[in-house]
Amino acid sequence: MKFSDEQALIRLPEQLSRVAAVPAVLSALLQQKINLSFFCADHTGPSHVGFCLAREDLPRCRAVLETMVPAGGPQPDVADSVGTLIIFPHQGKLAVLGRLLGVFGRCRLPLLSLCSSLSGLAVNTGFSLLESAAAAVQEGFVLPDNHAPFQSEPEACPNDGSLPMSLTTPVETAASYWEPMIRIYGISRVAGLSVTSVDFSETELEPLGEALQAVANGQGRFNMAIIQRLANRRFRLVLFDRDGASGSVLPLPARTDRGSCELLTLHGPHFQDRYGVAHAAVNSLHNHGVLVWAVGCTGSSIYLVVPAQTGEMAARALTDVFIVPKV
Amino acid sequence: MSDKKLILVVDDDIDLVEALAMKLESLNYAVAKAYDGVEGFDKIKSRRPDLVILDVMMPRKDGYQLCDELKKSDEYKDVPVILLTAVTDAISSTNYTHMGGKTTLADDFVSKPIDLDKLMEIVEDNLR
Repeated sequence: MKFSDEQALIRLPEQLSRVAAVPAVLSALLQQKINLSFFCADHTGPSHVGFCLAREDLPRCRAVLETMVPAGGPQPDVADSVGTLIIFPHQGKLAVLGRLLGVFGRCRLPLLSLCSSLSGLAVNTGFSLLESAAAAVQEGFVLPDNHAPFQSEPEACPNDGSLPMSLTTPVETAASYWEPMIRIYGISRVAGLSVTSVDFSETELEPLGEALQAVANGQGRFNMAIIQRLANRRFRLVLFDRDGASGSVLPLPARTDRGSCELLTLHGPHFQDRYGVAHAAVNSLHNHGVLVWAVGCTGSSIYLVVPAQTGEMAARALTDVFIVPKV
Repeated sequence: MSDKKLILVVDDDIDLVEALAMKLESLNYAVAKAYDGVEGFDKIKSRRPDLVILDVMMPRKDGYQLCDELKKSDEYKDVPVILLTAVTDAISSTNYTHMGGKTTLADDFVSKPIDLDKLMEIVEDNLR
């Protein structure tokens, strides 16, 4: 289990969430050097886009977005004290995702959004609720012995008036990873994926979680999962998987399109600590005319879902902006 | 018990641990994972690895501390340790003094962002 620092979560209004509008939003945030520690976009139906950023960046982000939304129109929805709880490894198991959702539903913990990475399930909730969320999760999962949630610990100032060690001793930081062109470990591509989407309310979270745990007798798998908050306290879960098996067993009306999309995944060093990563990925596809159905940037992973038959073109486009090791 | 070589990956970047594990498993290694130095040492004690890939900056116990504990113990001093570090300009050899006066006895190091193929070569060299 891992905790984030206190962050702000922004949900873009409809006109900025459209697939053609997102690249401009990301470009504007890039110009301000605003890092997005969590970015999630779903364009499989009506578009929904949300992201997290450091609280100190919120005023600059608001200023950027104010220039992009018409006065009097729908404004970005801002939650200004949000924490991300990451549980890992999920191993692509629907049972793990379902159990996590069940815990949040049973304990009535607010779920603001969720996105999977290669190893983790990142859930955004109230920052002040992280400890109670962690306690609830520990009742639902078996954690390793001697496990402690990772989190930033405030460093105590020495009593003698000297500076804390972190200010006097050079240490490795995320800034060490800055490079003009972003290096990644490689791009992997999975074709023939299905997409299943289901809308639900807060009270339906627990039964939805139970149903996911039961898919394929507990052996159901997913490649990518997104949950975002809609209007009227409702949510949308979007699952990308091999066979769309979850769609037929969920206790709620679900829509499944089989074999309709491809998933590209990229990983790089400390992506969550450097600005411009989501911009590089999304805008490279946009500039090459590749439609993006979903994006998830969390941890050090980038997940991109594109329509079937466009994955190869998307992979080529990404090599314009990322340094990919030769295979 | 598998006869594959066991490699322990210790890093608090959970996705990097997973990516490294997938790469190593594709090369027919067995992989154990840990996400900080304390958990890493627990894993080493529960099953001795053939090699450790160790990040430097980690919570609770950093890579230098864990490396020193291993290299100063009679039981584990022969286990090769490869450090993953973002600060390579301070390194002139694999038995080096790091900024802040820390020393480590790691067998090798790879700079971040890591080149996976280079890391795999170093792993192979250290397992010979």
